[in-house]
Amino acid sequence: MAVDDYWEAVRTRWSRSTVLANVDYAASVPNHFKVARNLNIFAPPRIPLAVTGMRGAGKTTLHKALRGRLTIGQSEDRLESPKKEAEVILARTPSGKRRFQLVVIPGQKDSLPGQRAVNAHFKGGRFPLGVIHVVSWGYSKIWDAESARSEIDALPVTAGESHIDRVRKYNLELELGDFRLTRELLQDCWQDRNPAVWLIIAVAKVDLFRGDLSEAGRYYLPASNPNHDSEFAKELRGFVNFLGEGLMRRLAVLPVSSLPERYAHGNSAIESSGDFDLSSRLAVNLSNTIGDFCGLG
Amino acid sequence: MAWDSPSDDGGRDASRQGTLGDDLERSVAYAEQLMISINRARSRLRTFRLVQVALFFVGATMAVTLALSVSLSPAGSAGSELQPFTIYLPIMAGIVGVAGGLTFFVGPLRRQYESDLMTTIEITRAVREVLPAVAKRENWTEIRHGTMRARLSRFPISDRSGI
Repeated sequence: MAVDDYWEAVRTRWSRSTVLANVDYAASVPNHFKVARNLNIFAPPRIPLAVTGMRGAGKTTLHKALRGRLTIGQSEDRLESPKKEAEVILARTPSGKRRFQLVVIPGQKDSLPGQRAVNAHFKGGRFPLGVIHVVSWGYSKIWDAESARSEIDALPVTAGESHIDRVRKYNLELELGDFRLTRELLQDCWQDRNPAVWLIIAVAKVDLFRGDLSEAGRYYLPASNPNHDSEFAKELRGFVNFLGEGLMRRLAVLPVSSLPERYAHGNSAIESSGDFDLSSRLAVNLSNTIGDFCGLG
Repeated sequence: MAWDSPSDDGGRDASRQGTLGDDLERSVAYAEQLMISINRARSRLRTFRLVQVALFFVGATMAVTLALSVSLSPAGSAGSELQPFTIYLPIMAGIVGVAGGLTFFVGPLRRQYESDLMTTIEITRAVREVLPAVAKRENWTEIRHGTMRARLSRFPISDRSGI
């Protein structure tokens, strides 16, 4: 596949997916990848999948949404994930039942649980067949708001910029750094692999920027002219170039909204425009893509 | 302790003031010292727990033996019925005393352990949060940044992480 065709296909999939986030979208999305709880502990080998992303990006919420464990409309009292979350899930697909080992890698990779999770799933010849890397266009939750405040205040001020814009700028820088670390990990464990691996960049919390999805897409997706790539897009393009398009045949950037809720920092806040239908459509779209990438479509 | 708490001088000693990066490194060094105390306390708590479990089994075994010896002793020998009590009861009282004494030590040790752990978690969480921005602003070398990240990777995220 030529370079342009490769990224054109990824951009087309993103555009088709963003249609599902339109306010006036009414149709339901058929679910080909139904997840159930695995009750057979003696089950045959499982497909290893990992959820990565920076702190507060929404990995745990997405993990719960994929397992159908989120009560939409009921905001839960969420805390920082103290350790990796792992569960075997059973997927009923048109081509039969398959078992997955779905692991959430802590966002704080430079921590004891983070290192343990990385060593257990990305080192020593072990590797996930698929990775869902969660980003949130700067709307990730800051667990230590007090420490972050001085750094946010130290950022250069741009005219007309709101406080939330500055928080997003700060978060986007950290998100880029986290993607670089994830890229290094994946390059190390995926290079020269025989089975084709896949990567989904899940752009979470789209209920907060439903009207700006084109702009978010331009940030995360490599452009038709590489000179117009954002820093994130450059990293993504470099990642695919390093591994080769043959190995990375399956890559998608998809919008997600697992749990619509307002985003607040200090005295500023952004209201969510999401609802149950939006979350449901986007979750089904993500599940179907996972099934498709695992060859279960 | 080799390192003072980073806030001990309240920032008044100008000779000790450096960049924010230096402060972060001092904070992590303080957390590392705390971690040594935490590991020591954890080891002691584990030993106390083992001793308590061992005492429980010894006490339970003695109680069963005492009950059996009384029920199996021949009827009519009043003196021999009391003999096991005179031997075992002081020993069992001693066991209860030791177990009680251990609880007296365990309480404060556990409180100190939990307090040190929470302090360590708060320090390292704050350092993790600002490290990338500070390292970039102060043009840290790869080796300095990598070393700091490796040092941070020895700390838990929360008290529910396990250490």
